Amino acid sequence: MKRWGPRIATAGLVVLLALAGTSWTAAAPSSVVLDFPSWMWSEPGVGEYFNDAIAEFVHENPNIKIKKTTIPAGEWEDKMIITLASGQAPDVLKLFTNNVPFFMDRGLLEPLNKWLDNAPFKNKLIGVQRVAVRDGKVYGVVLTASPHGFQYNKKLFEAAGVTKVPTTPAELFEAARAIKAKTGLFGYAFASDPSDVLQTYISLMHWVIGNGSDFAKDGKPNCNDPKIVESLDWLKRLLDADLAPRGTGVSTFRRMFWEGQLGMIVDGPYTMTYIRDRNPQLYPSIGYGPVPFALRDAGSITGGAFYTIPRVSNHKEEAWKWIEFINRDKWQRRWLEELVQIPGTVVKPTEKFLKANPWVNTMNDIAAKQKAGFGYAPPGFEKYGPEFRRIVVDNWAPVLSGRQAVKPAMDACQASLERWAATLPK
Amino acid sequence: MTATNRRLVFALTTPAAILIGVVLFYPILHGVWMSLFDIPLLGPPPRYVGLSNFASLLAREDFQHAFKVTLAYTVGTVTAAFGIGFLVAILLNSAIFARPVARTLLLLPWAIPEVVAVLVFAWMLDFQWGIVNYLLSLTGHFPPKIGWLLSPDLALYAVMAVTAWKDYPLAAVMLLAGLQGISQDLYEAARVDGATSFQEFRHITLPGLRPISAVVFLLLTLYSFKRVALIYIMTAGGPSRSTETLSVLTYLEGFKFFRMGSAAAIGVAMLLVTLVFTLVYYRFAMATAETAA
Repeated sequence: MKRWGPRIATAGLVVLLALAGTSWTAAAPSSVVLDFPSWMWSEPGVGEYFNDAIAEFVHENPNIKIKKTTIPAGEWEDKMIITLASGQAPDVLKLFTNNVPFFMDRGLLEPLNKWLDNAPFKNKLIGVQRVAVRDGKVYGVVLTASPHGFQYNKKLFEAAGVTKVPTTPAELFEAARAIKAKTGLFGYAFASDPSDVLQTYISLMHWVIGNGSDFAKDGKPNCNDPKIVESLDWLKRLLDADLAPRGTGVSTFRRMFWEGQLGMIVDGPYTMTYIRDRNPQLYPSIGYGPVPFALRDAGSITGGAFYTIPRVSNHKEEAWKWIEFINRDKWQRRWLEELVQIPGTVVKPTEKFLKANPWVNTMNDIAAKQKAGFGYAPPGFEKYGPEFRRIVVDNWAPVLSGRQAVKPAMDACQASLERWAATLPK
Repeated sequence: MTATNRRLVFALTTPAAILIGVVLFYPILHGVWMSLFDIPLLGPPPRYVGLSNFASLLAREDFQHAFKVTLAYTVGTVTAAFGIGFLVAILLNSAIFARPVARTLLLLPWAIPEVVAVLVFAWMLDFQWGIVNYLLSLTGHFPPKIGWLLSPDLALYAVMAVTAWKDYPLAAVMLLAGLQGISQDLYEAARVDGATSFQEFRHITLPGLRPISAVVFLLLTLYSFKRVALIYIMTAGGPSRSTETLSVLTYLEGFKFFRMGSAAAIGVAMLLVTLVFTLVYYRFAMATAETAA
């Protein structure tokens, strides 16, 4: 015989629990999850900074949760483009400075004027902010600026008898030669692994821009400009004299530098933060100055990043709350004084901080003279950056392998770029 | 079969057929559809262009180059993987010392994740600090530094070598199974007739392996033809496009240069070539089954 009593009781209990759950859900404040991916979450120092900021932000806004996803910097651009193309988007979208025009011009970003006009930090944003402005509409808020500079190991200079910080390619070459001769270590390194197209291109651009040129000029290929040949010839000389490692990726040579195994690099200021965090004994011995090329501090690549809100974000108000929160003085000062990076708003450093980090003034000077995003994107071919850069690096590769001289390689580059440019839609 | 049984068979296979249709045929059809459009990622809406993506492919230098690289890569890796696999199978089939251990060790490359293997090889072949250059330099017969992955003349060979290392266990396992399927009676009879070892190999082993060899060749060819990750992680198609196969070109076209229509067209072209291989494989498998029957 069937026993209905227990079954009815169980069903009743389930219904009661369901009703209780429903009423509880209705009473609780609606919770918003902000999708906020970044390449910064696991970076030394920067990760802790954001963890602390997010903890405080969530405490202040208990109805907002933040979903952090780490995407490596090298994959960032591709992943974000593909994500947006699929109709999805994070709520807070960090963009590298050179990517901002690409996203802005395609109408993918929400204008921020309605919030920014009333924001307390509106007039404190650093000059780079202009990159995110189009026809009076503001599409991003600058997060940081990263002017690349010349970084050198003073201990190795001392060991090699180098008494003057190089200010020309010839002096850099001689310093590298002295370091190799006296210490057996490489004097200089740059990204020379052609499978990493972007970093290899940036390494070339340090020298090319420093010598007052670019691989494109006025929307036309400019690969065999004598200034380019002249500057890249120095890189070849460094390789041929075995003063710079060949085929080395950016992560390898940065690590060599942090560990005191390399004399000189040209890189962003974040390298200084890494050294401070990973090898604090070495930190006071690292110098930071203008690049030793013709244009000096007026010829540096300047990277950086912006906060933006995608047009398709479902939580724009909450996303703006985050942007407003992180631009508070407390967090901006911490960005400068703890991470030793240029924050999005103007922060006057304290005397104590400058005494401990004297190179920061140089970094600020370089940043003040640079156009943001300068160097990564070929002028006139910004839309086709990845393809353009690949053609340049493809033609540079025979020089890296020692098979070809710079001039014929750059002539071949020019021919390839011209053929390719002719196929582009007008 | 009764009508009830037929209905039952239909009812049981329909869900699987639907699933296969969704996960297999829909992406293929969608890819074919995409190849007929100009689809700029994040740009204006897709524009129908008919077969012009295919027409422009044939005229493109990079497509022609990638096709040649793919052929060279496929022929090189299949030959090397098959050759090494064949030797390993013969070795593992003989009465060698510690055969179970040897089998495990020799088949290990198949078990190592591709990404891990590639990263290790990239370091081993590194121009500056790689152990391969170091060991070669000890012999005194090679230049001190060889740009295995830096030189456009050498990179394809380096990638082919790593691919062959990764693929030979597949060939070895299948050929070993083929070797063990050959009746020992044939060898005994040959020995009674006074056949030499070479004659046994020539007249018993090789004919006995023919059906399985064809399958191994076809499978290795298919794997090599469509391989992306190994090549992309190792060289990204460089230096100077020397390792840019059709699969890598498809990836670059779609996910680096954001021309999805054109990428789909290359994908469809590759699909057609792969289909030819598959049909050959299918016909061969059927013929082998009939012979066996």
